[in-house]
Amino acid sequence: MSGRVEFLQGNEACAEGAIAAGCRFFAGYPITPSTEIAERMSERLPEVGGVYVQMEDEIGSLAAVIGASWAGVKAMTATSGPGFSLMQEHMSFAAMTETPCVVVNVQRGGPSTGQPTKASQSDVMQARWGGHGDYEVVALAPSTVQEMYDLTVECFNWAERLRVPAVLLADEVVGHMRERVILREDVETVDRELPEEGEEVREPFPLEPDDLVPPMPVFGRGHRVHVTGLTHDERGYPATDDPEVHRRLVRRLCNKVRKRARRIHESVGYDLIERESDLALVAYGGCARTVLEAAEELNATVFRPRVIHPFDPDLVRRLLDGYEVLVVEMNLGQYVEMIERALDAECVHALEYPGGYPPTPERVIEEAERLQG
Amino acid sequence: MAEDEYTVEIDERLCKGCFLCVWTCPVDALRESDRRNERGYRLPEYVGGCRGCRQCELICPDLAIEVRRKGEGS
Amino acid sequence: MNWRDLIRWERMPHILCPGCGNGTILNVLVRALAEKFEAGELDPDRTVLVSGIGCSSRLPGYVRLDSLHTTHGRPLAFATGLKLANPDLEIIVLTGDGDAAAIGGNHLIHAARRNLDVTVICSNNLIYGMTGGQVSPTTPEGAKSTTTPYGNPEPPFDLCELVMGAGAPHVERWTTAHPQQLKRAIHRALERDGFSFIDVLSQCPTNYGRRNDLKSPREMLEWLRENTSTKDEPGKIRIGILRDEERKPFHERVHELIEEVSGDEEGG
Repeated sequence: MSGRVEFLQGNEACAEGAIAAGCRFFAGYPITPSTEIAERMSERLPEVGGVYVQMEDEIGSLAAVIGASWAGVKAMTATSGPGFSLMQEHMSFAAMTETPCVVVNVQRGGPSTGQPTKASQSDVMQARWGGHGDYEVVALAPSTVQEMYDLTVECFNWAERLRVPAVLLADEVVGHMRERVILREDVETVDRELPEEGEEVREPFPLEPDDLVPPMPVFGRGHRVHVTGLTHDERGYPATDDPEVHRRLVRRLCNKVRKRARRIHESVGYDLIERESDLALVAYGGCARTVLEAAEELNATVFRPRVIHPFDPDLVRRLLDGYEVLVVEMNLGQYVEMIERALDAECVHALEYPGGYPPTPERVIEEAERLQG
Repeated sequence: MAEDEYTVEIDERLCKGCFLCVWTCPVDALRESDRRNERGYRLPEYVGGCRGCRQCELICPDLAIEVRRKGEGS
Repeated sequence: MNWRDLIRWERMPHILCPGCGNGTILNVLVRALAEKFEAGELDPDRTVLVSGIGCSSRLPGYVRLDSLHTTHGRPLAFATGLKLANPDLEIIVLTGDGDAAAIGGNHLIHAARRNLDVTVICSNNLIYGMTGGQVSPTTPEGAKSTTTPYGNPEPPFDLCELVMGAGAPHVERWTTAHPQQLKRAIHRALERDGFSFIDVLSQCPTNYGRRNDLKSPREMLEWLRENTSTKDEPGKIRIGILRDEERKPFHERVHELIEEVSGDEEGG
């Protein structure tokens, strides 16, 4: 890994990762604890020829990001819980119109205004089910400042590959923590596939394109395409009354992500530390830091996914079948529901820990010991 | 009587029978007819006397009218 | 270029009701655009239509240009991203009174304040037509709608005053009874740099006229013609050019700043 070594806050590393990934447009609205991303982008983007704009709200922010993406520019916004709620209208629109974009959610405690300055992981389900309709997104959870950098790059790459909104599902722990980070110069970046310039694209939304992802006819290149959030046929024209067109469209929108679940997990990576034990701990994001420590103390196996969505039940089954599993998360049980779906539910337990801080290693150990009775 | 310099063509497939063309015509060159198109909309008809102001063409919400100068292509 | 080359004929006839004012706006718009393309003043491959939700927002789907049919009230926010990301695009926003002034009111005033370089054509038919005739922010006081069965108790917005108050440099109001003047207004709006707003008083015979003693499209246009004036006349709605000034558009200021900062970076 070559690059410049810096001592940065997670949010700052996220902004640097975005720029390294090729992001040249940011629209946002101030909200704790994500604001440092906007601040850093407002300073850094003009230096690299990119555009920063502060919009009138989070709804407009994601709208502007989607607009920029259709102008052919990699674009991002960053927010936290209440702003993420406002953005759901356009998460849904981005999914339907297959617009690559990155949304960073530095999670804080909710519901509602909740705990603005405290950490949480309570938007795990919202990241996938927040908007209306059937769709899938890619959502990645960083546990370190280095991952705030690296996984931001991954979000852009998967957004561009699959033409989906990708969510960096961060939290206040990693957002505000300062650590050593290598601003890697050798990052692999992916650019969306484009149709030939100047060519009118008569079927921009084919029902069964190769790899389920059609090339993206960005505006201003002579493609003359109509893009709508209405159910549309292969020409992009509204076809709201045809049940078969709707079924095929939403199935493709989901399948292009679902069918790549394994590939995404393997490419983005996960931590699996196997130890001689009947117990496996599962944690992600900022919360995983203390859980990794507790697992060492307990001599237990530990699984730390970086990919939260799409979930890969087969992978989880392969890795964790046969263990008593303890899922630790800063909410009242969200990721654990997915784990329960993959394994024998009786073997799955949860340490649900909302409140603003990850549980201490001692608290995790106590829970594990109680479990093992 | 001199022959009209212009003629008004109505695309019957597109017309929805709102008769804004009849309303806007300053010389009463169009009128309501009793003929209907396939979708059941009653159609306007050209009765002659067009002077080529093209107001009917521009107001038509269904893009169904074309005023042509005789002897010219479209 | 002939305006006929700009229509997606395979989608015609369109979904609009008989006598709908949005149809006239579509008609006038494609002719104005064809003239601009023909004169070489605009490039069809770099002209983009953006719309929100509602009857007027369906118009871009019939025009053979790049077009983005977005969410309710938000077309100006999408247009902000498009224009800043690619300043070479000429952007026309098609919206309606509900889209622009109710759910999108905040985006409207901020786009005007920033002086976003777009042409906004607002089909102002005083009602929510697509959903069946509910009261809108421009429905006249006392008017009947499906949600004001006893008459509208609210005063309406004057959209031109609203955007002028927010700083819009070019503002005109016309009606669908004035298609020639509307076409010239669209020409002017496309020529101006910055935020151009055209408030087009329009008719919804199905959901407004029918409930307010205006029985046909013709009666509605008669009303629009008789109750508007290009002069300040008591009891009449003022139409015409209401403001025509120059102010540096948003994308120019943003890109000058980028030039300055990135130039410093390279030099320093």
